Amino acid sequence: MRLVEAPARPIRVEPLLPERERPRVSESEQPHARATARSRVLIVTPIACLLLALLFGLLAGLRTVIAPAATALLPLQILQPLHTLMSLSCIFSGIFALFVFAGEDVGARGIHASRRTFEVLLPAFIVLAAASIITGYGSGKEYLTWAPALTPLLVLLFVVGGVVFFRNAGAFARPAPEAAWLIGLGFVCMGFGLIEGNLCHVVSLVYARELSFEWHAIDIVVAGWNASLYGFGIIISAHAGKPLRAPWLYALAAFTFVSTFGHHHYMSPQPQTIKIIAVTASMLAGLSFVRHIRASRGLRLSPPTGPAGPFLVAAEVWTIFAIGSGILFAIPQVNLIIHGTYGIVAHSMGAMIGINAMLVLGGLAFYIGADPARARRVGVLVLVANAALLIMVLDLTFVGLVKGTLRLARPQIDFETIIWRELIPLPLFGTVLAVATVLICVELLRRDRGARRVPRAA
Amino acid sequence: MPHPTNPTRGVIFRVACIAVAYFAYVAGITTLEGRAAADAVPPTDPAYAAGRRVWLDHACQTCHSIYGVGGHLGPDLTNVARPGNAGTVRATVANGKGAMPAFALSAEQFDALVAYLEAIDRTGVYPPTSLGDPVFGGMP
Repeated sequence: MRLVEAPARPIRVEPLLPERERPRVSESEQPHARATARSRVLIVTPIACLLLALLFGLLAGLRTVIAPAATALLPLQILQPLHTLMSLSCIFSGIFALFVFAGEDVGARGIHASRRTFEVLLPAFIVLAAASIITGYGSGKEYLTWAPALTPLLVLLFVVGGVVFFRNAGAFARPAPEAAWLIGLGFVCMGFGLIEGNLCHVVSLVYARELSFEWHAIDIVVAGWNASLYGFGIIISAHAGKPLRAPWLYALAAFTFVSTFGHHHYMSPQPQTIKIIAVTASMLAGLSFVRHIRASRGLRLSPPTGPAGPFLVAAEVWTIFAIGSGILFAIPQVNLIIHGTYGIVAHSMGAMIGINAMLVLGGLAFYIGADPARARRVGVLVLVANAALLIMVLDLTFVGLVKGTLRLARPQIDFETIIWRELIPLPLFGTVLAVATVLICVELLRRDRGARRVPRAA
Repeated sequence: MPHPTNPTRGVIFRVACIAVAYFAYVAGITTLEGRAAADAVPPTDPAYAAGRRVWLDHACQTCHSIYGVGGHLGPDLTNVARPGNAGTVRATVANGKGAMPAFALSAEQFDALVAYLEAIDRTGVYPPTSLGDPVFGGMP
């Protein structure tokens, strides 16, 4: 292992607890106090996956607009699953990278073994999964698009991460208790969700049941990665030392965590009870919305600084959007119009790029280190990327509302021929988003290379 | 609830509670009854299973949805195989239509796909045709 001097950076611990209750963090457990070279593989993998996701997304957007000419050249049944795979791989590999870096900072036992496991098996999974889709062996399902036989490999990685986390729960919890349970919960739920999503390959299920399992699995995986990424978000923001949330807030979070999924399926034949629970859970998320609105005031008064600052601001703004639109779309009467349209795609795109990708990039920026001379450039690029994303999200929402309204009169509408002009902004602003993201990634990789050139520690 | 000054126990306790809630919820999904017609679709029926295989192998959900879940480029296919429409389904899949490419399926695969879509058709109606439709779906 090569030892380098980490870039000097002041560590801010927000005084949320009285002095006597504040967690005691030893010098060696403070972020960046350990002079450890960050894994190059774990830094490059999420960045490469993000760029490939953008490329495939851009091609899929082009295919949407110039459909008839590009059907054979850009087959959507390969492009779209590849786009999804790379998006998920970016998030998964980002989580594994941040987990290893956070674990190294708190001196977690077994973290180096897990680092080596992730460095080998994670790229292997991504390559094999992509190959399975290209060769026609993908699952044919949404989100979990790779060959089902590869899922155990991914589950294994979450098991490894989970074991290391729970062996070191105390070390992770001492500097940031609220972050720790979110990270641990994420690992557990992503593992559960991946297994549940493949249940149909093991047992025969009636249609309604299979539908429920498939989407509950996806929701649990998504909720899991959101939990983990928000946990890392706490670590990389100034909230290290944030105590566990109040029990009643936790109980509320737990209820919504496991049961909101039903709002994907109000019209489907799944059990009515699930739908009623889902409406209740989704409306209770209004409390979370109010809390985030209140938190955003603090964001305006004192925006987060440091290398992750612009990413954290973007993630917070998109969190408000995602929760707000999620609650709105979960209102049954609104769902009647918007479900099954690009409006839902707008919601998930805003969440996956605006929150998940921003937290992954912010986390990598945090652990790679700061370059004050180019901080403004990164801030501008993050702003441009998110402005382009906003335009795409608004366009998709508009298209979704148009379709939802039109189909009330013509249920079997051939949507593509009517609305393709309104989808033209997608590849246009997708290009802006892609260019800005590429430049952000180049900045991160340049910083990482610069950090590795720092003379070895004595 | 563990004491807030013992964060380690608090972290493990909170994760464990949600894990228990998860299993309770999954148990609920397993035992609750869905719409009768959907619960009546036999998953072991060879035609249904083979049709589902065709649907998955050709990644139909990339462009098409069932009950609004899936891709949004092409039309939703929940009720596409309604009685009397099987011929149209076969012709569209075999020859393509608009941006949809043609798929070279065998006769058995065509039969299976139609059987799968016919089974789906019997489970309910989608999309809604008026704002007055039941918000939690219903039968024709």
